[in-house]
Amino acid sequence: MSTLIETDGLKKYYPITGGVLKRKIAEVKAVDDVNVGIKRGECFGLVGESGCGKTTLGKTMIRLLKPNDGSIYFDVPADVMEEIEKLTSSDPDPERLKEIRKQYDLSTFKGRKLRRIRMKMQIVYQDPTTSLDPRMLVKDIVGEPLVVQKMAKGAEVGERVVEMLGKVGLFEKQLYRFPHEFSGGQRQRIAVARALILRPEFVVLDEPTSSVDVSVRAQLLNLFQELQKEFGLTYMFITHDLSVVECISDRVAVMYLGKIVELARTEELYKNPYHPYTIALLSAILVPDPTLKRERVMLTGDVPSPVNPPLGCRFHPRCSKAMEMCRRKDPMLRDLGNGHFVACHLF
Amino acid sequence: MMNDILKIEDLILNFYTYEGIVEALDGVNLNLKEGETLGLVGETGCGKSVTALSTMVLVPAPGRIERGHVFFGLGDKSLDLLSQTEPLLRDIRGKDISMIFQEPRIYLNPVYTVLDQISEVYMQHRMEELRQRAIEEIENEIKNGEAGFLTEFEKSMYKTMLENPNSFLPKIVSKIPILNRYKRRLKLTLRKEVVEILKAMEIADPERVVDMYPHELSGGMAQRVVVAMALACNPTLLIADEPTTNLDVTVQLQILNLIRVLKKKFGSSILYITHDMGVVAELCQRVAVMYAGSICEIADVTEIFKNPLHPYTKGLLESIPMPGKKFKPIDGTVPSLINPPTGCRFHDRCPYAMEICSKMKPKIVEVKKEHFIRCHLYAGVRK
Repeated sequence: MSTLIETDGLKKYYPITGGVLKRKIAEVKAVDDVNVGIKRGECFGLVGESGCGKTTLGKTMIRLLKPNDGSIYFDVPADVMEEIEKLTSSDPDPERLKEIRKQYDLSTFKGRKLRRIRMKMQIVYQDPTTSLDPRMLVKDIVGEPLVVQKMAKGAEVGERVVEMLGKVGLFEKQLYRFPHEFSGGQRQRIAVARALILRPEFVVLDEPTSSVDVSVRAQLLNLFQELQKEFGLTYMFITHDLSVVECISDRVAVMYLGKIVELARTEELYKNPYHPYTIALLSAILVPDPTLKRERVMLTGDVPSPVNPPLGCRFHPRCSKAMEMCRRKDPMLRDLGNGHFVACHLF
Repeated sequence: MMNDILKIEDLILNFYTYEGIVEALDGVNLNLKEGETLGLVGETGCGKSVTALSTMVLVPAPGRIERGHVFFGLGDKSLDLLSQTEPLLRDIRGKDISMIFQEPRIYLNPVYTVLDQISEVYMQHRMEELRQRAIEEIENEIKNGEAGFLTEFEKSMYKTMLENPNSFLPKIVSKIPILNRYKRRLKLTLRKEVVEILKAMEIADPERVVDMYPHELSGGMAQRVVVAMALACNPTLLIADEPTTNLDVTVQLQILNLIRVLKKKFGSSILYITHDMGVVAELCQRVAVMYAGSICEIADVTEIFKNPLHPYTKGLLESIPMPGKKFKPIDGTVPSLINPPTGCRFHDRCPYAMEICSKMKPKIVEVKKEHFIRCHLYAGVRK
């Protein structure tokens, strides 16, 4: 499978301003040096606790936010990708790299070029009550992307909206209704329809099931899988619910304080977690089976502030296996074979 | 049954809104045994929280309790809370029954410190005890010869307040500078007490945390503070309304462990409201499943997971995502409670619906020992 979207050393810092002149006094390192590659047609899960930078990473990857540093390559031909790799590793020709980045790197895009590429990537937000305009009719909400991208005009918009609504399990008679007239699950379907009407290739699903009930959650997850098959979509599924990710993703990345700490195929990660944080996270899943009693790895304390992340490995103050080295050196994300990446000094 | 600490009988509650009458609770029957943890499970809007609020007799404005009883207390001391006066209820709330809410940041007042908010509970319910302790402390000081020139006066002040909480003298003296220093001792006693309970909540560095404002606390810490507030008076019944829903999994595990440890320590009974079957399996001994305003199944926790009988319970358990299995949702959506379906409220989503289901509301039946169910499918199996 070829890579659809790849990030290289992606960084997103939010400034904290203060003083009379509102100068920058500190930075929240929401995403700090992240390298991920998402393959075409897969569902890539991203898990982590709240405040670890999951959503920021998702938004930065589709350029809703401008990264401070790093590059994002979306849908780059394989031979160009090879050249980029060669150029970044040995760096013989900075001029050529600059040229390529200007052509392919999303982080350098602006204006019309950016708008055009956005057609291919969309996002579904966590809470449909806030992501849908309460004053717009369903017809207008779902049809707006078509109008913005000048893909359709007049009656054609309506036709395509009806077609899309049918695909997500809504009906034509609901066209002239407002979002508040729908239930939570249906609202999320509207948001999905809006995201998919431009036939994107890459969709970021930012906790799409966390605001709905268990029975509706299963309906939505089914819908996501059906649509993925039908349109050949690539998903990035951001969530904090580990049991959902296990069922829907092909590969899973675990994030902690702005960094990816472990990345592997789903079965591999759930069977063989390496990083102490992943182990703790997995053991905190509550299995709906009262007869099952497991050994639990308890984490003490809270996630440290991303303004002043701990030196060295960011997990070391909460890690039970922390060594001297962890305090000094930040571990790199290394391949342990079989596509299993871990950032920990133990391995 | 004799050892029921809480017994809710045929509770009917409506909300009178502009859109119409919302029939939120439609005959809820529930009992909680002493020292037990009962899980109350259901989807959003099925009436879980309203059940909890009516137990505290704190139903918000357009809501009205139409019929029913809420018996609280053991054996002969059992009271029907719904027919008690407000001052008495105020005494019970926070002391005998207390509640942990879902969103700690909203529940905590942003302009008061943790110390202020927790000591409020003490001042409401345990003032006498604290005054007694202050007097003892003063007597100790006098004995050890550490007394200052105001110590005797201080003691007399506390004695008056203990004998008559509404007496006039302390009210005047508390306005006079220098003389009103007697108040400091109580403040210090309160502070010690609050630090003590925060320590029991496994909060690191409680001396610092007591002076913090809610916005300085992380989600897990704020929830611990709320738990501390609820347990400050050692309640006999603790109602936990989705206390871990907005927390991360690792913090959720910490809070659940804390509740389990404290339950053992204080011996409270817990009514645990949640929509997460995982939490239920982890913490509860019995489970009540609620759908659209009534309880549809009550049984032991292992029984519910091994042998669910009500079609809704079955659907709920099957809709939990499991790796390697297809997602099995329950068809349809939760009905509006303004015009709820007739008969059994689940019948239009139920795969086993029969003709009688849309006409008659099923009665609750004990199918097996301690396994109650409200469904027409099991109407014939009555022992």
